Amino acid sequence: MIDELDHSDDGLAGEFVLGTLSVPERNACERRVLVDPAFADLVAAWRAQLEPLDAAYAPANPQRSVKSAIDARLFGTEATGGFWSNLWLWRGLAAAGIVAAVALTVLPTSQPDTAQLLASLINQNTDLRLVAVYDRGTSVLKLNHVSGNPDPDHDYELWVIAGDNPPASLGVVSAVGQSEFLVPDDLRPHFTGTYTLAISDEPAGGSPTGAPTGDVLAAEQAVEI
Amino acid sequence: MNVQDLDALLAQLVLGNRNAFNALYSRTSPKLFGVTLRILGNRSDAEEALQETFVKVWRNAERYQPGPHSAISWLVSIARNSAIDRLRSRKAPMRDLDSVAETADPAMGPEASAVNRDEGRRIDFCLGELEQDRATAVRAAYVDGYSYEELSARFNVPLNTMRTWLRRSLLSLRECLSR
Repeated sequence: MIDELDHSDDGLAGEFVLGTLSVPERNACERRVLVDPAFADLVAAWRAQLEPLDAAYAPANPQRSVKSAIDARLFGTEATGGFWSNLWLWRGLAAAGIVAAVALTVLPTSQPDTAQLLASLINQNTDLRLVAVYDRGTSVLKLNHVSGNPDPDHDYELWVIAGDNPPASLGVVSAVGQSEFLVPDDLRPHFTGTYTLAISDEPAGGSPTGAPTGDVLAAEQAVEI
Repeated sequence: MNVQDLDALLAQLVLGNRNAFNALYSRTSPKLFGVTLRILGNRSDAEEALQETFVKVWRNAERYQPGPHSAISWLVSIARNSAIDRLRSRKAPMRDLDSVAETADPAMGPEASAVNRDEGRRIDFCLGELEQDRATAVRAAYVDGYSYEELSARFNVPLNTMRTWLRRSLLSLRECLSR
């Protein structure tokens, strides 16, 4: 007997949502949902049809230790690496420009004596997006260049502006990706009080004068996190 | 529970906001634990599955697409998948299906909305249009995570017959729900 759902993706998606498939079949469906938008749509449609059955699940309280175990699995030992390697986070941070609001919660707090300061550098008219974090304990400035590249024969240059001081160059920004600067001794005092980080458009190799010569594309006061 | 609230919390998860994760956990863990406990039948396994659920939610939050179907539905589907994967992977004795027949359980979680209640009545009505055994089998599969093997043993029909029953029941349900 040939059922009309036999061998059809629609039928398979329905069985997947119903939950009756074997482990290998379920695994295959889970992988397919990620790579096959048409199949993902079928699964979503079945899920929407059957969702009212979710009402049968009566709430119950897990032990408090469950949340601690989840946090340990997610944030326990690799919080720093996870933070820096989370591209979604960086895109979101730079796009949202709500650095202070989220920064309070996203950075690891395991090193309480090394204050970190963060600035999100965004140009609203282009896709230029960078996020910078300075660690006072190590004098390392980590820069995540999320998007936006200079024109040919141009470079982006990063500056720190402390108080009434003129902008001091921190160097040319590398291509999209993550980079780290060790801030030289003479510039570290710039990072003690209130300061601003800025990006300017410069000739290839950086400003020939030691001061910004091109347009300032983005500037943001750093906030303590 | 406000759908928009959960959407906002999930959006914050994509930004790596742990406060949002904590808030999401406190709001949804009772419902999601209800899911894993119902499917797995013991607290220890259910708590493991709940852990897996929230690990997946944190890691995959960007896959959530806000839409007409609520965030809680997406979260429940992750909890069901985690619990069913765990259930299928363990060697367990057949469970007793007798209680399942009475699971036309109208108890709704605190997030119940008028829309959910209407949809719940509709699906109850449409399940009522199926033969009773088949409606019971659909509920047992979806709500309690019964496999084809368990269902064919319980209803004493060959596995392929059970598979055909359920596929046809799904089609009938969809047809009824779209009326």
